[in-house]
Amino acid sequence: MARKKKRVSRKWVYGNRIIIPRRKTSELNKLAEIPYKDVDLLKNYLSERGRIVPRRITGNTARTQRQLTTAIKRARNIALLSFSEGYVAQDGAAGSGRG
Amino acid sequence: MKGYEIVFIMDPNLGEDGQKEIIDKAKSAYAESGGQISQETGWGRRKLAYPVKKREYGIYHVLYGDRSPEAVKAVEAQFRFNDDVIKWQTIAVEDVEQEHAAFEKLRTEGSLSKQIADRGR
Repeated sequence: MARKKKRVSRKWVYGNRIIIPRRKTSELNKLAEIPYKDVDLLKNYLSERGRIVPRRITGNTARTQRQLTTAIKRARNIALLSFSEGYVAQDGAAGSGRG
Repeated sequence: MKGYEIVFIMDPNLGEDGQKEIIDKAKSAYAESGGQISQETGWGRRKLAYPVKKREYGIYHVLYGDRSPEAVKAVEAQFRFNDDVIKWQTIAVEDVEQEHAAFEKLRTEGSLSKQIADRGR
């Protein structure tokens, strides 16, 4: 496994094991702008239920996550993404019933 | 150039003429209110993520105009009274040309997620 030789500021020692925390990164961080019309891109950052995945999981920076949130909300507004997935109404009346 | 991007969804059952009429009307409304539409892109028929006004599909069209708030108002007023336009959204963009180019790229080259995945290989 290739690991960067950069010095890591923190490390934790548990008995004879040394754990070096590595910062997560997301490919989205490299984009200058997040296009809200790119549905396939945005879908990577949604849970099965259609909720936005927190940046603690995805590794987005705060700035990227803000832009992503705006992009997803815009896409939802214009019916490119759904507001929720997999909800089936009990009375069979409301909801999309898909998923 | 700063400007606006107007995305609107038309009834999927509209014919070519019906679509053209709506688009032309919107463009002329924008022009009459002192604005200028610099670019436009038809996105075609797409499945909606959720039903809108009982329709499962819609025809997407995108207009790019200069920063004329009055013109946007006029276009939206027209959409409001036209039942064949089922949904629309206007966003302010920093650079109209850049936005348009990015959209064209998305349409021709596919999703960025694919490109990112390919780069990783």
